[in-house]
Amino acid sequence: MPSHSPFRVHHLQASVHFIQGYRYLDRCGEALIKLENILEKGWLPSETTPKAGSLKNDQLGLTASFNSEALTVSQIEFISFEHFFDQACKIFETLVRTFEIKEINLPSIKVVFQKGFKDDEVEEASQHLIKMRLCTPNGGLVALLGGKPEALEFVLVTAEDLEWNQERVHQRRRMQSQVIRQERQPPFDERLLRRARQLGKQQRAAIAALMQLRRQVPEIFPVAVQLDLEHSFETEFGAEAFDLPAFLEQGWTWAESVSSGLTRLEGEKK
Amino acid sequence: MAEQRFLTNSVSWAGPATREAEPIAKGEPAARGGQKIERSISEPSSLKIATSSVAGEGQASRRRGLEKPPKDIAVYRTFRRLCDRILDELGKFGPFFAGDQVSDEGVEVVAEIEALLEELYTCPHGQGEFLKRVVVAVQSQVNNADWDRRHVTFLREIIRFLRVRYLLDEGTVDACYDLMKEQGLDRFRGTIGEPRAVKRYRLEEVDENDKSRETND
Amino acid sequence: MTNQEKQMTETSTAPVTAPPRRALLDTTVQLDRRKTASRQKKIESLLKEFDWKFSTGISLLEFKATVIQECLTIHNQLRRSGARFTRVRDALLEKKGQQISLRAHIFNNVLQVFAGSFDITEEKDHLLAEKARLLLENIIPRLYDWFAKESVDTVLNARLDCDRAKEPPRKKTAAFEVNIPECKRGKNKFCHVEEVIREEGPRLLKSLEPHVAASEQLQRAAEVFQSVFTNPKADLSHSNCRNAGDCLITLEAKGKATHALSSNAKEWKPLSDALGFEFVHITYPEEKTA
Repeated sequence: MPSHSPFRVHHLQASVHFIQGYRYLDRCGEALIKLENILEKGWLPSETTPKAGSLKNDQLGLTASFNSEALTVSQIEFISFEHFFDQACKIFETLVRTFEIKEINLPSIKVVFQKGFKDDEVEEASQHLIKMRLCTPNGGLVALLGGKPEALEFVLVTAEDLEWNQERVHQRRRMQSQVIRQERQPPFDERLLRRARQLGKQQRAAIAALMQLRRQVPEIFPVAVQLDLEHSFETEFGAEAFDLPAFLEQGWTWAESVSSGLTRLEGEKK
Repeated sequence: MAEQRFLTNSVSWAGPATREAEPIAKGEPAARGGQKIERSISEPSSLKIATSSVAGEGQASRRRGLEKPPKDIAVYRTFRRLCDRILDELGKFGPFFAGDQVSDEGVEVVAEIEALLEELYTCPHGQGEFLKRVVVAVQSQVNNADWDRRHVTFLREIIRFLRVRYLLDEGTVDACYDLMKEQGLDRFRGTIGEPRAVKRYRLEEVDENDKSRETND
Repeated sequence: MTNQEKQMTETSTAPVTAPPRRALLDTTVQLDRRKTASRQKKIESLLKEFDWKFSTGISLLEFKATVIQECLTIHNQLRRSGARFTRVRDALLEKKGQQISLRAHIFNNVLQVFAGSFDITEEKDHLLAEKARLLLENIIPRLYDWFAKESVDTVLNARLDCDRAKEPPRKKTAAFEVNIPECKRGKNKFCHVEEVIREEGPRLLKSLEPHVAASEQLQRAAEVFQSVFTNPKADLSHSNCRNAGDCLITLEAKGKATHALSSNAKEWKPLSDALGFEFVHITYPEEKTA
């Protein structure tokens, strides 16, 4: 494994808040059936309760969770924006129709980039983030504290009122940068322990794929400089009229452009 | 989310070294006057949905490549481009109204939209024949018709509705007919309803060898 | 002025509100409301004079058996593998049938919308067939919904309770289900048609006696009624009810409608007289001179 990696997308997440999504409590089961039928092969419903319903697809690295308040679709580590986009749009439209959601608000897309470091390179990672000079602490403040900057975390939020798809929206963009440690849990599902004949055909295929995945050697950096970029609209929209495909593509393109910009900054500093 | 799945921790280098100790006085509850809850104004917008089961939340390990990208996405983009082109054309009608009717100068725009609708008909976006059904429904209103503001408004509304649809179903067809009704158009035009047509057409049997035949009315 | 005088004066000068005018629409009037713009305009203008508009379950049955059935017949032929519009049209217009002109009307309308000034190649013929099929798929259930839910204030059906009228056309995967299945008492038939005929039929037939000889339709209706009078186990199916359609429609509306609207004066005038409706004859003289 290389000692450093360039910034790579580690996590994609889209979420949308439902307004009056209470039919979730009546129609969660129906929604799961529709999703199983509409989505790509390999989706497995996880335990579903009045608190939340969820599905996952380990082959695509996707999870989807929803309840009366919101829908969240995530793709971690294994990233394909095309698959994420395709499945997120289908899940969103299925739930809007099944729960008869009239309005949504706060659509957001989060793109998390990581630059990996080895286990014993925490200090290097911290210094790397400091040297990127994304946020420079006031020299006077450092003098007051005493010593040299050793670690830095910051969050920057920007906001703007603008026109999007012929509607006035309040756009909010957030960037959080930090150094993290991470440990992987091998993927586990209690259905791995069940006899194959106890499962339905679709679930059997998904579990078989998961078994294969568990045997693969995980590739993960134990330490990482993480940039968490989020693009959202703090605005209400008509659910059927909301242009989720355009929103996701715009958010993705923006995150990629920020990341390219930061990579150039890194290069300049060298 | 990464924090949950990967047991991440913002490295304590930037976290606080000390924990706040709570003094315990005899007879007093540990939490005095209610607990303090803090939320940062710069917190993320995205909502974390807590699911009860941790098992099953494990993630796939990284692999080099996925299966081929979903075909739906490329087709959706073609569909979306066609819808956007139709909307662009509709935007050109502004100066082409004589009262409520589309004037003769607007005929070119009408022809362009009819051609784009034909392309949309053949686009394989969506399941089954739902897109085709929506397009023939639209064509039943605008083909060979004397366009007026209702037709332009109907087209604008239905195309705006359609272009953001990733999944098409019976509801999409229903929405199309609801919009027709809203604009006061005859939903049964072209079947039970006789269309008020710009040109009249009829079927004429011709001799294959007759090269001088007329096919127009 | 004393209070009593004031009250009397107020009573005598109080405006007399006319009783509401309630129109019963014949099936042909319903069809005409959708067929051509000029007929629709004329009928809608006439209907503005009425406070309420009714149709009946039997009328809806007739609508299903004519308009909707023709759409289904054409749809069935068009959905066959390799169907060509011109061939389906030719085949269906060659057959003799009561609704042949309605069938031709539908084909011609499709042509006006989807055809153009071109030679119809095999490819275009297939495309035309496909588009016609899809359009019919769209409108068949909507025709029923229009009649049952939008076209009138209410579809009267409490008296006869026709089961076939309550069944909307339903599409399976490719084809629609049988439009009007045979009525079988206890299985899919729970209506009161025989009961109503026994109750109201004798009086009605007596009123219509002077007109029966001149009208084939009334003769058919009389035959249906007689079959029920003479057979205590009579079990009519929808085709029998359609043969007595006008009589059953007007019986359903007896006591509810004040006026009856139809383009068919021959049967509806005597029926209206017998059942206490004022008959409104709908004609289209402008179409004859055009």
